[in-house]
Amino acid sequence: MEEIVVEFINESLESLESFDESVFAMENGGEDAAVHVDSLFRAIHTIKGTCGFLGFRNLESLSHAGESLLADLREGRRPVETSVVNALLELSATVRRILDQIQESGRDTDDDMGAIVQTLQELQDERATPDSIIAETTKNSAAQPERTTSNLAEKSIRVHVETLDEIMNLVGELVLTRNRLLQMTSLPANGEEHDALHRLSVLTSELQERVMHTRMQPVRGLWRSMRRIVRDLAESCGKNVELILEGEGTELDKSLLEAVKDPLTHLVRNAIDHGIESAEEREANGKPPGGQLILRAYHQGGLVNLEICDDGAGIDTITLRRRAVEEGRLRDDEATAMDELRALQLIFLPGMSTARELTQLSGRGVGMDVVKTNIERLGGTVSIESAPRVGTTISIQIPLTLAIIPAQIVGVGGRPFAIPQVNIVEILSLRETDVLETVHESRVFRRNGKLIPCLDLRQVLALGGDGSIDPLRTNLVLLQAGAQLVAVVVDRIHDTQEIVVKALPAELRDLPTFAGATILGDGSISLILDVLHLARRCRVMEEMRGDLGLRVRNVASVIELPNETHLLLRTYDRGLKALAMPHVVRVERFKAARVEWTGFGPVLAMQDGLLGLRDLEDLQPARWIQGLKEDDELHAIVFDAAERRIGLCFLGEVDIIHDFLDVDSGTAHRFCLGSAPISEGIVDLIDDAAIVREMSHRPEPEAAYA
Amino acid sequence: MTVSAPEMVHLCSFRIDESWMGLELSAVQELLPLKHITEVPLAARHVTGLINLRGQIVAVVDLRPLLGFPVLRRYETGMLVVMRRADNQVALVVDRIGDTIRFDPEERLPAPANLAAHVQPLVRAVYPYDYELLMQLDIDQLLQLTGPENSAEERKS
Repeated sequence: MEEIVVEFINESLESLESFDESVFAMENGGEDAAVHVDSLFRAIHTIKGTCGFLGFRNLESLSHAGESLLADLREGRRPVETSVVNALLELSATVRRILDQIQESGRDTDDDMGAIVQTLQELQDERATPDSIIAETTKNSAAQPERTTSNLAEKSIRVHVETLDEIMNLVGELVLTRNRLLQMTSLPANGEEHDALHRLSVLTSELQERVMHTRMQPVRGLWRSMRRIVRDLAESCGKNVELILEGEGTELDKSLLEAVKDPLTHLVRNAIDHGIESAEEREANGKPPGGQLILRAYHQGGLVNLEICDDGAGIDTITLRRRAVEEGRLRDDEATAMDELRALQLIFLPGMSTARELTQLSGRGVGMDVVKTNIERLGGTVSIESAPRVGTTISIQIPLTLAIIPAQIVGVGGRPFAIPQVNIVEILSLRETDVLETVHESRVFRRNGKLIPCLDLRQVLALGGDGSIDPLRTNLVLLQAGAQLVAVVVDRIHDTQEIVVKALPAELRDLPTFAGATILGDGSISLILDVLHLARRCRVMEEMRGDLGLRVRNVASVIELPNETHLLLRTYDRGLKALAMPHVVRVERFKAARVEWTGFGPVLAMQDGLLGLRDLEDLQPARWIQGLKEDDELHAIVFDAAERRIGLCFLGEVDIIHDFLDVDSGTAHRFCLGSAPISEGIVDLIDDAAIVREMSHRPEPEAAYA
Repeated sequence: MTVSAPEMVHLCSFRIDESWMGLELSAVQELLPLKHITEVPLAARHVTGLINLRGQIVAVVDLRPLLGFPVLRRYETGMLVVMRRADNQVALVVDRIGDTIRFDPEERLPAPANLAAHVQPLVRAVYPYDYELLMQLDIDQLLQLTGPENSAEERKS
C-alpha cells in the first residue's frame, strides 16, 4: 500500500480516537461544547478532504454528509439532540470500519452507505432554531485547539509498533549479553574494568526500563471505548447509568491493554445488565433512579489495578448456591454451611449465572470463569466483593508488562525450566518437610490439614521420572494456579532471573505445557512452564469444589484431612489394619528382589540411605521376606519418628479411609490400640504412639539419615 | 546464445538419509552447524527442538519422520538449513549440504506416481542430479506440514 494511504489511515484513526469522547462532551453541553463541535468538524473535514484527493469516493460522500451536519451544529443552526448524537456515533463507527477495510484491501468500501448518509442528511434538513450556547461560543474559541495540535505534532513522532517490538527484542538481547558478561568475568572489585562493567550494567537496566515504557499506554483509550459500550447498553436495557472514569492516565503495556479489553467489556456488560436495577426497582429500594458505574485504574506495588464498581443489586448468593446444587457441584448441606465469601466465589465456576433469564446482551457463552481464566493467562488475578442491594466491585490485578517477567529457574532432568515468579507461593526442600505422601497412586503434599496435589515434573515432561522421589535432591515448588494450589517436584532450584518472554515458534504453539520460551544468560534456551496448564493436568481446575475448601472424594484435589483419616492396610495374611497419618512419610511399593540383607536383617536401599524393614505386627526385622519370590511385591510404610525412619512391611494393598473409627480396646495388645468395625469388616488400629516409643528407646545402628 | 538466467531454478541441495533434496535458494536464509539444540519435552516427533538464532527462538524440524525415513536417536553430525518465508523461520536438520545447483526447468521431471501419498504434496519437482534424482521440496507445503495443526495430529497417532 502506498505510504500516503497508510499515513491517511493512521491520522484518521487517531483523530477519530477522541471523536466519540467529544460527541459526549458536546452532548453534555457546558463551556467546552463549542470547542468539541469544532474539533469534530475538523476531524471529519480533514478525512473528507484527503478522501477526495486519494479517490475514496464512498468514504468521501459519507464524511461529506457528516461534515454538513457538523457545520450546522457549529453554526448553531441545529440543537444537539439524542438523535444527532446517535448519528454521529454511528458515523465514527462506520468511518472506522471503512478505514479498516481500506487498510486490509487498499481499496474503498463497496458497502452501501445510503442509509447512514440519508440519516445524516435528514437530520441536517430538519434543522431547527439556532442553539444559542453553541453558536455564541464557537467563534471565540475556534482557533484554540489548532495551536495545541501543531505543538503536539512537533514534539512527537509516530513509530510503528513493530519497530518498538524490534527495539524491545534487541534490548532483551543486550540484557542477556550483559548477564552473560557478568557471569564470565571475575574482575577485581576495584579495578577500572569492573567500574566500566558496572556502568554498562546500570545503563543496560535503565535502557531496558525506558524502552519498556515506550510500549506503555494510558488506559484512556480503553476507558473511552467503554463510554460508548455503556451508553449503548444502558439504552437498550432501558436503564439510566452514569459512568465515572477514574485514573485515565494509568499506563500499562500495549499488548496487555488489548488483552484486557474483552474481559473488561464482559464485566461492564454484566454490571449494567445484571447488576444495576431498573429505575422503578431502585426507587423502591430507596436508591436514586440512575445507577452508577465506576471504572477505576491505578498502580499499586508494580501491578495495575482495574476496578469495576456498580451500585446495583449485588450478587445473589442464595441463587448461586442453588445453582451450584442444581449443577451437582455442591451438596445441599455444603451449600448452606458455606460462608458468604466462599459462596461468592461460586460465580467463577463454569456455567454459573445469577441472571433470571438470559438476555440478548449477556448469555453469550462467556461467563465469569472465562474472564477469570483470561486474566490469569496474563498473570493477573480477579477478586470480587458484593453486598446485597449495595453493589458489586470486581478488582483485576495485572502486571505492568508481559514482555519481561521475574522467573524462577528450576532444573528438571538436567534441563532448565522457568516458572513465572507470580505463580510461586513457596519453595520447600523436601528433606525438611517430609510430608509427601501417596494416596491411591496420587502423590499429595500435606500442609495445614490440606492435601495439595503434587506433580513430579520429570514425569509430566516425560524426562525419565520413574515416580520415585529422592528426598535428598528433591525440591517442592508450591504454585498458585488461580485459586488452586499445586505442588510440583523439581530436581534443582537455580536462581531467579528477569526473563524476556518469547513466543514459541508456530511448530510448538499447540503444546499447552509451555507458555513460551526465554534465552538465559549463557545463551541457552529455557522453556517457560504454563502453571495453569499444570494445574489442569492434575484435574484440579475442573474439580473446583476442592478449592472451595470442601471435602471431595477425588484425592487428586485439595481435601480437608479430618482427624479420622487413616491409612487402611489390607494385608493378605493378617487382616485389615489402620494407621493414623502423622508419622507416615510415604508408602513404598517394591519387589522382593530389591531387598538386601545386613546384620540387622532386611533393608531397602533408598536414595537417602538404608531403610530397615520391620514387620508391621511386632516391629522385629521382617525376616519372612527371605521366603518370598523375587517378583513378589510388598509394601513398606515409611514411618518417621525420633529422628529415624523405619519401613513397616507387609504384603497386601494400601487404601485410605475417612470413616470415624469406634475403637474397642478389648483386643488391644502391644502395638495395637484395639479394633473397630468398618464397612469391610473389623480393622485393627495400629498404636502409632507405641511405635514411636519403641523407636526412641532402642537406637539401632542401621538407619541413620543424613 | 546467452542463458536466460532468471528462468533457471536455483536450488540449495542437501542430503537426508539416502536422498538428495533441494530447496529454492531464495527461501534459504542460512546454513548452520548442528549444535546447541534445546529439546522440547512432549513435542511432536518431527520437532527436534529449539535453537537460539541471534536472539530469535527457531524450531528445528527433522523431515525424517515426515518423509517416513528412520529417525536418528542422536544428531551428531549434520547441518541446519534455516529457511524463511514471511515471518516464519524453520531450521531443517540435514545430513549434509551439497552444492548450489542451477537447473534448467526443461530438465524437470514430473513427480512419479508411485511416490508415497504422504510425501507427494511435499515434492514440487524432481531433477536428475549426479546420476541420481533430486527432489525439490515445496516450501509452503513444508511449513504447513510442520505447523501447529499437523503436529497435533501426528502426536495423536
